[in-house]
Amino acid sequence: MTTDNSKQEMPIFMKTITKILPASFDVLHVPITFEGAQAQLLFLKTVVDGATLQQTIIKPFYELADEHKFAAYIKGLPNRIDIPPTDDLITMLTSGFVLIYVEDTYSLLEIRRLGNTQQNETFVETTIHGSQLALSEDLETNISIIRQHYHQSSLYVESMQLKDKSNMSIAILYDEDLVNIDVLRRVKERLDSLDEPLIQSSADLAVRLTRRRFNLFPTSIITERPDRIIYNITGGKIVILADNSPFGIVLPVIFFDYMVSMEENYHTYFISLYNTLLGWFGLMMCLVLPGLYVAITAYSPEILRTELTLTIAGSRIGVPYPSFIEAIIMILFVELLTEASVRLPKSINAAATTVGGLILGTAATEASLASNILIMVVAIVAISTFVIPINELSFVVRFLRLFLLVFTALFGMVGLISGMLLIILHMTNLDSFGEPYLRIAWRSKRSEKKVNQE
Amino acid sequence: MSRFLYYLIFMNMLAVIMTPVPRLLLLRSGDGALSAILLSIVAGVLFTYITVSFFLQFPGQDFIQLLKKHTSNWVRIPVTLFFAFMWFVAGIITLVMTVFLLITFLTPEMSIYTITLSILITVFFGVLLKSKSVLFTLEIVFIIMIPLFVLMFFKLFTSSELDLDQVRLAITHINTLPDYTSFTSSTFMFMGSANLIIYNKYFKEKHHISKGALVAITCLGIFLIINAYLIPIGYSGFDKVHQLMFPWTSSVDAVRMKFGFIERVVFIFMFLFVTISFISMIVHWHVAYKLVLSVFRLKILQVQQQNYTPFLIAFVFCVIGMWITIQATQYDLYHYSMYYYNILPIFVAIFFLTMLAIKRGASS
Repeated sequence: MTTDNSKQEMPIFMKTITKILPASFDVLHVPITFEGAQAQLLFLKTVVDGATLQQTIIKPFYELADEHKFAAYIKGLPNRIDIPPTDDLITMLTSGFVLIYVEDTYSLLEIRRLGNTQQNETFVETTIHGSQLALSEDLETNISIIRQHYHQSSLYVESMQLKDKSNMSIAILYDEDLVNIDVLRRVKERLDSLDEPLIQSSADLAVRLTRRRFNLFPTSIITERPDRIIYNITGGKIVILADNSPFGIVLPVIFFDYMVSMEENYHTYFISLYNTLLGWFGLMMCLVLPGLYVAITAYSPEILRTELTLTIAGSRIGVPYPSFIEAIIMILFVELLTEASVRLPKSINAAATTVGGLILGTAATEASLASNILIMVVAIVAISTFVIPINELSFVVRFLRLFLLVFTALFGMVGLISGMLLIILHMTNLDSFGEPYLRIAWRSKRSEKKVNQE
Repeated sequence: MSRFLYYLIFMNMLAVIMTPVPRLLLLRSGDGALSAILLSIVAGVLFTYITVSFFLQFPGQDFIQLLKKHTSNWVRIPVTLFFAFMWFVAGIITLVMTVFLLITFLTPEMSIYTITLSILITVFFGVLLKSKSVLFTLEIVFIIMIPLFVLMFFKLFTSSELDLDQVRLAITHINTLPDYTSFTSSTFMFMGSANLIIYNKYFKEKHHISKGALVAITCLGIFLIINAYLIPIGYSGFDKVHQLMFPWTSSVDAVRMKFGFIERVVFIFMFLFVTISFISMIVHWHVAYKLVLSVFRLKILQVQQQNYTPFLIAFVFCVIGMWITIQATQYDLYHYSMYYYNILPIFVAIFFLTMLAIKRGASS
């Protein structure tokens, strides 16, 4: 729809730009004339905010009715920048800039149509007492949210654009006084050397930031909570926000960060201590319990006291296969149930869980395909998985308990000990942007959050 | 002193239950074991003091670097290989003993190959880690185990099965002349600080060895050697205890937990000591592996930027470990490990001589 207004000749530079841009319906070239004054605009209709354009460009033009005054007005606008190299200019036009030609000079104005600037409700990490609003999906709104939570002049915001096809703009936030320079350097190096065709969200970016390809443990936290972001910034960590994504990436992390629920900061000392211990207990339960069941029933029943052993053996009467098969079937079944409840629409969700969990569980024991005790074990395991505060970790734990189960089935009780040690060894050997992943920091809580070098 | 150094020392003390040392001591309980133990405490603390204060002079440098810098090749290579041998055998002894204990007490119907394999898989990965990660793992294992230690000592020292008269009877033999093997084997307990030859690389800060640290090491040492020597006597009786093949574990099996999920407390102890022996094996073999690596680094195994020599060394370790475990009998275990402890003084002599040489080289 490029208008060929014959009264006004399109300047050469603008012509070349128009040629580079595809002839799609939303590329607009608008010449405006009024009482001898002339100006020309070039922009993409779908990414530019029409109302703001009308208010700040077109209306003043007709009110001033003087080319010289209008040019001066444009020069004074706060969102004006000088013309960058052509390649960048094209990218900027596609992301919501307006190229304006008046009085023989070009200006570039940012009149971007903003995405979803509404703050979402917390969805992944819910708390009772903490803030109920999460980040929004717009980068600048998110930065402003963080700035408003953290009134420190040392909060430093760096913005850059990824070089992939999405050209996603991201922001790196950190407290200049607290940040670990080495980690910052490593993160920036990694961002510069990113070589991916397409990165779409912050979770995507977080995965790509790790150098190793075959990873189990995540080396950064994805969070939607502004208070967690602030908590980590005060701990000297780096936060990366991406445009169009309601999640922030926190780097570097240690394993213990995954076990912190924001709720703990909003309770009295003993309550939060109790909650923390409960979290750790849950973690241990859902890791070890299935393996322990197999080890005790199949390998060393004499470990437990006699009465308990007899109870377990009694409940397994009639189960036709070894306890390993029994356990792995039930665990896989619960995994399916969990996956299903994530994928299903919310309205059917409850029904599926009830049908799956209650009815199949009862039926399995009545058909003596699984023992009652195992059903209990599996239920405890499933519930404990949800106690883990950060979702990323519970995915890892779900994988690891299968690993431990197989290891125990192969090697018995020793296999369980061996497998646990193997996991610890693997974690201590990992690092998150140069910081050891699992190690115990004997410092007060406040400084423990800090990324210390040892 | 860095906290990791304490862990290294304490680990060696605790792992002594998973070595033949308790039985070697109890076999000689009538002929000078107790006086040898007392002597070994003095010798062990002295050894710890000398070793630690030597390495404190060279913060951030391991023994390999020091040898390379201050001695010539014909000293360095034999000494390194000898040390590697000593550490490797220390690991082997723990491995064989652990497998025998497991097959006797925990999983009698499992094949010895399977049990050994289950241990060696984890140890293989543990050996190949960065030294720093081994230390971190050591710390985490210690933290997890502390409640179990407390429970263990509480149960052991308060149980009604413990016959203090037998303990008194054993103490009356204190006036016999110390026995050589008892002395060397109980000194082994205190030699955890020798692991510094590799791990000193990570102790970069300038520390000093305080009197408090030495007192703590001495106290815990006494406590644990009492645990290894007097507890079996108290539970099984002075006259008969040496007839048991695994005196500590068999004796402690007398302790019951009335209201627990697990009635026979020995399984909790097994869990504790198997974990400790895993980590002890990893620490020992890691030292041996680093020592061997400083001598051999095969160019053939260089594929692009990765050299596969470490994998080869760890693999060879595991294969030898497997082979020895399958070949060895319980008699062999006690017989040959006695020889190992008997040559420990030679090791200490060489160790101190090379220290002296390094110090000379460093000061000139």
